[in-house]
Amino acid sequence: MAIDDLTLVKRSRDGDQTAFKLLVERYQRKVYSVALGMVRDREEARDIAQEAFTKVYKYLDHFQGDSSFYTWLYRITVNICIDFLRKHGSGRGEHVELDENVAMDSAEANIGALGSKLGTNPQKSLLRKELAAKIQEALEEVPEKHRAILLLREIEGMSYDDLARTLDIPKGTVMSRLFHARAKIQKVLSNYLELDESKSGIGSE
Amino acid sequence: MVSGEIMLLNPVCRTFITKLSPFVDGELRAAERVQVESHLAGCAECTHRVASLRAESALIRDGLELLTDEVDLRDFSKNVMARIARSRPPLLERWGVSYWWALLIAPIAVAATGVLIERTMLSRLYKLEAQGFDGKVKDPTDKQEIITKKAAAVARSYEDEPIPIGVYYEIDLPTYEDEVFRRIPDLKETPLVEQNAFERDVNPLLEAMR
Repeated sequence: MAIDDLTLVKRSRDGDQTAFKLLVERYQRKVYSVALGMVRDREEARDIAQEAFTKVYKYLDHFQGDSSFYTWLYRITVNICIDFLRKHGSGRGEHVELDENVAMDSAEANIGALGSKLGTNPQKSLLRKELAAKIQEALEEVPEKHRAILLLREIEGMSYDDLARTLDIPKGTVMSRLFHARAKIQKVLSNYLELDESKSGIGSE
Repeated sequence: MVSGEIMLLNPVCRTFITKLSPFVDGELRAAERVQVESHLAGCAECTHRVASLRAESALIRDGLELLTDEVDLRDFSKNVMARIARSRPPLLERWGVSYWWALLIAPIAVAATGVLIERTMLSRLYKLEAQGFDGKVKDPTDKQEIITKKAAAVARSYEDEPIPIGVYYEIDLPTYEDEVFRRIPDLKETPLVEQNAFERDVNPLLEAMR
């Protein structure tokens, strides 16, 4: 039976490095995925993920245990990513700050084009792979804070409550940022599909 | 529907569109969920939007999984542990002790450590003796005996504890003064410093030097 996170944290605090190694192995791929989605560079993502775990270990004594270990770990990861992007620049998405309280405009509401382009046909798996690369590019178009929330939701499957706790924002903001991020991704991807439609014939079901 | 086109939403859809994202995530309250579901039953456009949101979620998940599955993370945890070892903060920092406090505490700590070491040494010595180990060096001038005893102490000490303790001298090494008194016994009864400079009898000293 797998040992729960909190027990491993306690053992790590007592100096059991094997316990901490288990925690690393448990979360390394997901932390790496979040970092990769945020910074879009494999080596930087690996470095950030390792730094996140190193930082977690360093401040293990500060972990109160009132939230889950993974929300704390992801918060640290996201913060390192945001610091990195601010230091190195992250493309257009970095400078866009959306007012979450403002209702979305009609362009952002243009959600829906993706379904018809993509469908669920398994024969389109090649297209999915191609789109995966495009997703990476699309993520860059999304402001970093919105990107973080989207990645944590999609990769980790975090609930809105967990997202609010992880990023220290109200639940309403979680909902709003997620909506904006998704609308942006849809817009970028559907534009891409529109351009490629004539070449690949993906527009037809 | 043509993508990229700016769409004008009908007022009914406008009230529901922000709820579609939490609807897909299963984050709506039961009552809101029922409302969205009944709207979807009669609205092809919003049904389409929901399909799009689901497709997008799957794409992001699949896309990142595809990218990370190709990455070899076998040495990842090993590298993290090496990094931790390198970046381990100083002991004081880990204990949350400031350097000023450390300066204040240091002499007490040294004294306490001294006592602790002494106690440890004695208890270990007694322990070895209780086990029948003879650590006494009978003749301190016998280098071979010293070497043998030390070697035996080291060998026995390593059995359970890392610090080899167990050799001590039965006879204290004589000091310079002891040696002088041994050679000139009279000197002990009437030390030179107590003699008047004019009356100082240096003959026994000269005799000993000869």
